[in-house]
Amino acid sequence: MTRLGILVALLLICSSSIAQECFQYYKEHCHPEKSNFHYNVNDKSTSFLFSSGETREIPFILQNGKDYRIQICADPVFEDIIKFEIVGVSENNTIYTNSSNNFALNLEFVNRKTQEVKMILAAPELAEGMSDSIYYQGCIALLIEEMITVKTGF
Amino acid sequence: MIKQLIKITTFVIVISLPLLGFSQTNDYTVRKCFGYQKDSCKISRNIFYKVHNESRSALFLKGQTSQTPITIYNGRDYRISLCWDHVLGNQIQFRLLDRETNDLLYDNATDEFSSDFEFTVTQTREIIIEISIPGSSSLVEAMGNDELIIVRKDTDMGCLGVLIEHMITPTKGF
Repeated sequence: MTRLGILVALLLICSSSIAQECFQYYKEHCHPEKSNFHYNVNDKSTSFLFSSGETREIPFILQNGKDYRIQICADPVFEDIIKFEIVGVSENNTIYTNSSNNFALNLEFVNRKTQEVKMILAAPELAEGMSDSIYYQGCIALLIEEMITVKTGF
Repeated sequence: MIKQLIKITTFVIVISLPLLGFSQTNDYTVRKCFGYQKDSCKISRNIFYKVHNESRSALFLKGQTSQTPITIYNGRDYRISLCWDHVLGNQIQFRLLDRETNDLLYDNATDEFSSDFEFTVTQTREIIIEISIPGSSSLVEAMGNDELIIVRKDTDMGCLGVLIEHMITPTKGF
């Protein structure tokens, strides 16, 4: 019983230490490409420990008149295959999905309506029968940057 | 004393040079196009022309059309010239329209897309300078469609300046 207790405690410590490592992941691993625009990091940017088959919803409010740049960064264990969706809360409609865009892990867009959305991240579930189908986990980050839409034209 | 002053000056210059380089940014969010027409459009060689304070510049997307009004006065000559970042293409269309009747007064498409136009005014009028950038942009295409709420951002944009010069029409003949 004591040994089992120690094992559980060790597992908990390990897991919590990995989770701690993920805490600052987006600051260390998300490096957006240089562009002609200066974005500010939104404080809803987050990183966390993520596992195969897991789905995470991050509530967010898109503001009218703002441009957003979103980048998903993940440990190599995910092999850059992460599903990302933006879903409108009021109508439950999919506003964007990266599955129709080759699972791109970045998105830069102009937002034209203030709306409550959910940003949904999902790591693929393990395929059954695969010899190397082992449960995996790693850090994943969602970097959200924003800027006021620049005026164009006179 | 002088040596010390030279040392300090050299030190300040050495320190500030990288900062000056760093401040020359391509950031469009910091009014990069402000005063573009002054810096980039060639002024007329005719020394009698004065720069009109309605000269202006703006950031443009490919495929965008934008208008700006101006009053032109009888008895004056005007020269309107355009300059733009090469990202916007080689030819920019500009038209002059009567603000009241919307009649077309000039279209540079009939003038080999000339980037400048010089004319004499015989009647005071309110006109519109209309600029059309060739190409297309997802944002421009989405402008008329209210259903599109998020639009992929097009980073192909550049500055365009409209330099307006004017002078009193010189007397012809004796």
